[in-house]
Amino acid sequence: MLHGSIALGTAAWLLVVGAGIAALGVYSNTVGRSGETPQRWPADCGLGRVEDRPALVLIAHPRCPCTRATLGELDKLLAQNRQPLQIHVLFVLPPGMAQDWVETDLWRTALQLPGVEVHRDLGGVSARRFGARTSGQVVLYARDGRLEFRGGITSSRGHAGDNSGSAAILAILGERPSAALLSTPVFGCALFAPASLPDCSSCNP
Amino acid sequence: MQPITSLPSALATDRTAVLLQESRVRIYEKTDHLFARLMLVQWLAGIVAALLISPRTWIGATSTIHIHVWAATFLGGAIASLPLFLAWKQPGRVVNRHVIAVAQMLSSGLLIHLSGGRIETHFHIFGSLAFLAFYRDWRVLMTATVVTAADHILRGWLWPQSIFGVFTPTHWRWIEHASWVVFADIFLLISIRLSNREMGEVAQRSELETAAQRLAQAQEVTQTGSWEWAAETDAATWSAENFRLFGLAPAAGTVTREFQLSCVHPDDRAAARAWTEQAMRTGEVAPTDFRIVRPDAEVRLLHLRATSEFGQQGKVSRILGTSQDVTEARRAELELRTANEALAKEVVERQRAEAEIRALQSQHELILNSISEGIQWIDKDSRIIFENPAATRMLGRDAAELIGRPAHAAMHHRRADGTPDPHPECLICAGLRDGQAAAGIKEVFWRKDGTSFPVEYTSSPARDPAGEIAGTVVVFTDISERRANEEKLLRQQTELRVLFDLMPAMIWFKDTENGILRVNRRVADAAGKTVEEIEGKPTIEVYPEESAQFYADDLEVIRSGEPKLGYVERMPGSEGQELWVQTDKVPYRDQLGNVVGIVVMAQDVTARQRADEALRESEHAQREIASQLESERARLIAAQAVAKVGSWETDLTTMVVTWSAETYRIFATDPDHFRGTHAEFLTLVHPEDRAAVKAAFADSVGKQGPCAIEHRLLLPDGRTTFVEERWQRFYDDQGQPVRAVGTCHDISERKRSEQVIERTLQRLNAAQEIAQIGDWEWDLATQAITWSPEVFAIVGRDPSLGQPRNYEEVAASYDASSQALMQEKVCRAIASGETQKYELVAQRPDGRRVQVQAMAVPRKNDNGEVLGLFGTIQNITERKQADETRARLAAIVDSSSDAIVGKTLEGIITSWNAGAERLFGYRAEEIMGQPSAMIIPPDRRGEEAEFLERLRREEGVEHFESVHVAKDGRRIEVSLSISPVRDAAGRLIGVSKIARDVTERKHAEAELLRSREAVQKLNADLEQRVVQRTEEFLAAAAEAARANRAKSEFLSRTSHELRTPLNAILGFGQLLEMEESFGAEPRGSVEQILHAGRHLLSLVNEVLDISNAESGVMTLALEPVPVDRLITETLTLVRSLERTLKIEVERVSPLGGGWKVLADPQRLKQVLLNLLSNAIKYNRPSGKVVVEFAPIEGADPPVFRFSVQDTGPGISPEKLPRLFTPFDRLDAERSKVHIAGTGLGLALAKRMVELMGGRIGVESVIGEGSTFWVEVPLAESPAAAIEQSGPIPDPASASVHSRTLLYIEDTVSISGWSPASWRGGRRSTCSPLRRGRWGWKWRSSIVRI
Repeated sequence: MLHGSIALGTAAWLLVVGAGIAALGVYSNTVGRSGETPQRWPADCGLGRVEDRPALVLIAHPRCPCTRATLGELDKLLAQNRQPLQIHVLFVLPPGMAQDWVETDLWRTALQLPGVEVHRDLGGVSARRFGARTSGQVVLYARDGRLEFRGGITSSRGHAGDNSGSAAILAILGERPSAALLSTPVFGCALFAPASLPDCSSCNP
Repeated sequence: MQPITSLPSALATDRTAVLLQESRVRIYEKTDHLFARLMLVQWLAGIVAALLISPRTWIGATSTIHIHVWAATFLGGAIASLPLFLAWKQPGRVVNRHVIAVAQMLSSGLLIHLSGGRIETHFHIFGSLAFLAFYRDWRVLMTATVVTAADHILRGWLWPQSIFGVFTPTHWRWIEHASWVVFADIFLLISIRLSNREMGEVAQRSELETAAQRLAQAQEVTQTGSWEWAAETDAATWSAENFRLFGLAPAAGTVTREFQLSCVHPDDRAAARAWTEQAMRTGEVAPTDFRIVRPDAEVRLLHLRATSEFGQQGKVSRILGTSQDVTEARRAELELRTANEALAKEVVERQRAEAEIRALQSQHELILNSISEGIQWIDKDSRIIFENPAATRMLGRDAAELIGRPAHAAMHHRRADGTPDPHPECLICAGLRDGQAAAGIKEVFWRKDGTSFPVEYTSSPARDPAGEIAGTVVVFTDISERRANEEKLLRQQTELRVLFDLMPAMIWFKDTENGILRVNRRVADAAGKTVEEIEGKPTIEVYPEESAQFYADDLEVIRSGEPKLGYVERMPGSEGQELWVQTDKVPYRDQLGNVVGIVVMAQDVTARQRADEALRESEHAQREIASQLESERARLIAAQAVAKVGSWETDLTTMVVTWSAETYRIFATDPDHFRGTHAEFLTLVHPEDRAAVKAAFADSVGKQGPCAIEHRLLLPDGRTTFVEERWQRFYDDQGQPVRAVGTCHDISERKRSEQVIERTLQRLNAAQEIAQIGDWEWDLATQAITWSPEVFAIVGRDPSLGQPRNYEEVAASYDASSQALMQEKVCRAIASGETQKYELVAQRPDGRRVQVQAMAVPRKNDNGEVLGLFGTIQNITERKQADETRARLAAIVDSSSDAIVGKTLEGIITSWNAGAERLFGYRAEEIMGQPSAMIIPPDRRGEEAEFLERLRREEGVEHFESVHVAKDGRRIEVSLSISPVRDAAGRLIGVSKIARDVTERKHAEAELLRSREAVQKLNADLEQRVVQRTEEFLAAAAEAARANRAKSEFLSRTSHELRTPLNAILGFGQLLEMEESFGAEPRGSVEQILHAGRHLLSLVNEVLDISNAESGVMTLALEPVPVDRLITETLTLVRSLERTLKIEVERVSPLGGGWKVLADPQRLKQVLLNLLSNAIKYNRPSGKVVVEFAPIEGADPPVFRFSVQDTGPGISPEKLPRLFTPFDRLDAERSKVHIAGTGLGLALAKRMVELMGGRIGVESVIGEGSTFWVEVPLAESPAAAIEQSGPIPDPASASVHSRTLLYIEDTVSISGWSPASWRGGRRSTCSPLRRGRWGWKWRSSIVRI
């Protein structure tokens, strides 16, 4: 009787633990939302672009814990890159929040990355210009202002390590551009509440 | 005693195994607890880590707790839960460590996943394996290894980055990880094996040490020493206890046999030597006792046992023995024996005393048991300690049930009437308190079964030798029987008294002195006194002297002692009347026979005396009555024959029946053949009614009044007739029925009439129900109203309410107008005597309205006077609705412009509406009954046959177009719609055809087709022309845009070139202005230079702004702008102008301050400044300007409005459209008063406001003034507003670093500036707002290159 109860309890325990791990897996692999990224560098994005080099923009939520892995991957990517590259990291400051709301550990980490320009994005206007809806969105524009890559550089939420986004960017920067636009899923916190998303026509001129 | 050959090695091995197993179990339990703590720590550490690393997940500015926190809390808790439970509930069990191994590996897996597959976290697995090795159970390592291997394989296949941290691991990556785990396992398994071996050795050593210790302890406890003698050395080895027994200090080594013998008491030494020699020789010796003498001369008695071991030659090689000090034991045995003997004597003595006590107790018990009273001993706590069998019997309880229980609660708790008997009032309990004896005579004791019995008891408290109350003895007796006898005696006395009073005779008991001892009530009534007024009084005092005769002989009877019986005499009554009494006077005696009194009994016989006289008088009269009865009987027989009513009489004692002649006729029975019994009467009753007749006769038993029943007779000739029986029973003086007398009425004809009426009524009701017709009647004399059931149904009145009680109730069933009409008609019917017909609307209780057709018919007497009304009402609701529907349909058909034609299946036309007459020209009377072929051309008649056939086959007929022929021969294009016509049973009986003239439509369609083709051709030409024009327009637009850009570029460049020399003019002008050596005239010239220069700079700036706005390069930085500050700053700027022109500026904020608008603060201020300066400049002298600002209520999206109202001359409506046109000053230059301006301010303001997402406008009234207003978005929705204007650069981010600004000026005109003038001049400062906005701090220096 006791053995039967223990066996039954153990089976139920394994089931619960398995279900919990599975739910965690599902969460980690849930792709964030994306908007329409302009095919050309948006002149009104508020970021200056140097025309002699590609421009990489990382749009991040300053408090998204998943973006910590993204910044780590960006650090790796920059270490592996040998090409001149203009890098912007946009931290979205939601309306109504104080200016120092964005100055988190992620902000400080981004400031320490070499060659990276860190910006506050008031109200996420610039993020919307780039069609970003999820923290960790990376866009890469070529020298001629053409969009070459958009997506995330982590393989799942908060998971550092090999990922197809970084590989694609390195491939593009390594003078092996793809004919087609390369795109990867983005994993991270939502930049905007769904209700605050405006009509796409107004944010994608 | 058997010799010992070897030690039980198997037993020792088992013991070692047990020790080893115990050791393992301890390790398992400790390790379970260790892991329980580890799991707990891991769980809490996981939660802390999740809270530190990823506490929340975000959606914009809102956040929720991160799933990692929940996972660490709940999933981590779930993983730890089962191991914690098992370790707490059943530590040491096998399943625990395997479950812990699984949980620990899952924890490792979870940690690896959460760290993104970092390789460092894989060391958690190795650490976990090392911890699991604490179990020293290799199987646990296998379980853990299998789990982690499965985890690596599965996740490496499904989700590699979760476990390996890379996206595309090699296929053998899991083997690499698994190999490291196996590597660790190998070392841990070796460690476990070595550890287990050491544990076994430790257990073995521990067992040996434990055995030795236990032996020593056992010897010490039992005072038993051991020794071993070796034959080869003839020496013995003693244990420590043996040394102590011999009084020697323990020493290592051996003792010789002679030394042993020297310790033996000299008297026992020879025997000891012989005992040892026998043991050495034979190896078999019996246990024996020897005395020894210790060194301190104390003699002790030792009990020796020995056993031998034999060597290879069969000789004794070794003797093992024990020595036990039995000195005290032997001594104790001796003392015990002595004590036992003394004790046996004591026991015999006590047994004798107890026997005496038991005998005495037996005698007491016999006494107590034989006493019929109940005896109880109740202790001082009111508990029953003893009771005798009589008490047990009376209380209905076993002694065991009562002993020890509170006496009062058990048997004395309520009084005889059931009310509680409080404990403080209990006499027994009171006696226990005060020591006084008590007795109860009116109380009851309660039995076990809840019944009580009256008792008489005494309670006698007893005291102990110390004088304290020890208890009380209660002796009680059940006095139920005595009490019952007393009550019985009392009841008998009462009954006798009642009987005495009820005796019909008057009775006196008198003593020998003629004094009245007792009388009954009749005596008192006869004397007109009460019994109390008579009893105890002398007769002479009670009765008047007139009655002396009546009681004079009483003394005579007493004296004679002879009774005087049965003589009648007169006696005066209480009211003086004369009574006749029959008197008996009897003397009564005492036990000795002496006459002690007299009983006088006198019975009133006055009525009997008088009856006898009356009887004699009536005998004569009876004879005359008998003759009269006979004549009456003859008349009765005749009357019965006429009325068909017979009579009968039944002797109920013999059940003999006597019939009259008419009864025989009704029963069609011959008197000669009727035996005259009730039973035979029943044979003539119809068999189906016989039971009812029997029941009716039986039910009449005991009734005093008449009874009746109707039943059928089955006559001897086979006919059935109906009779009505009425009878009455008569009873004798004792109430016994003696006879029944009744009548028998032939009611056959009445019955037949009733059946006919009943059937007629049923048919009438059925007809009324079908026709929904009800009838009613109203009797004017009685006001009684009678409704048939159908009337109830029509007006909806519940029949259970009964008939209407008056006219008002009838009228209430109808609506107001119907009530008035009904009253009019009813009155007319009564007045005129004529039948009235009318229609009413009944208002039913359920809300439905029913239309009713009513008829009222007067009912008259022979004189033509109206006695009442009767009539009918009929529900005509459906008929009315059908009539309306029919009329509506007919109107639709008749008014239709289409031709609607009905015809039979054979094509005969049956209906023809007005539309058909108009279309085809035939009148209805011309074509009705004619074949439809009259209007169908011969070439189309096949269509008619075809659609008829399709309708017969239940197929639908679509709309179709055809051609018909009018009366004048015209062919008419018609659109036809054919529908089947069916009867109520659904049978097809004809068709209806709707025909519409579509001739004109057909012509129009053809015309339309032609027009469409022409339009298509025209469209093609137009499209070609549009393309051509569009190309021309685009070219022109491009040219215009190019020209516009060129213009803007020119303006921009020109403005820039103008501003550069202006800066020099203004700069040097300001330097001159600061020169203190100038007099008034030069200073005036300098001020003119500065004034002209500033005006020119303002003009250039406006040109530059308008140019930028038109070329689209003007950028604005929108941000929430506090309105209050904006207005204050703007008003400050116009303060000097306000003072100069003496214009009053009023600031009005109806909804208070604190608002923020979404705008570029500088541009908005520029706009407001422009409007405000215009309002001041173009105002009348001493005019007024009102600046009002407030949000617009209800605007969506929220909008804030600024308005500037002046009291100037106003702007004419025709000029208003030109107001915001650049360079158009509305002919201001031609006004009398010259007002400086460029005509760019409002145009620029309009463009800036529109760029900020707002509006600008003006309202003006000639002669009153103008109001300019600006609307900009409220900062309630900044995000939406920001999107319209682009991103806002964040200067604050730049503020954290100091910046160096290098300004290089190639203009020679300012090269003359000195650093002193830069620092000290006004241009060395920046406006506070701009400095605050950009965070600049000037530190300037000028270097000439």
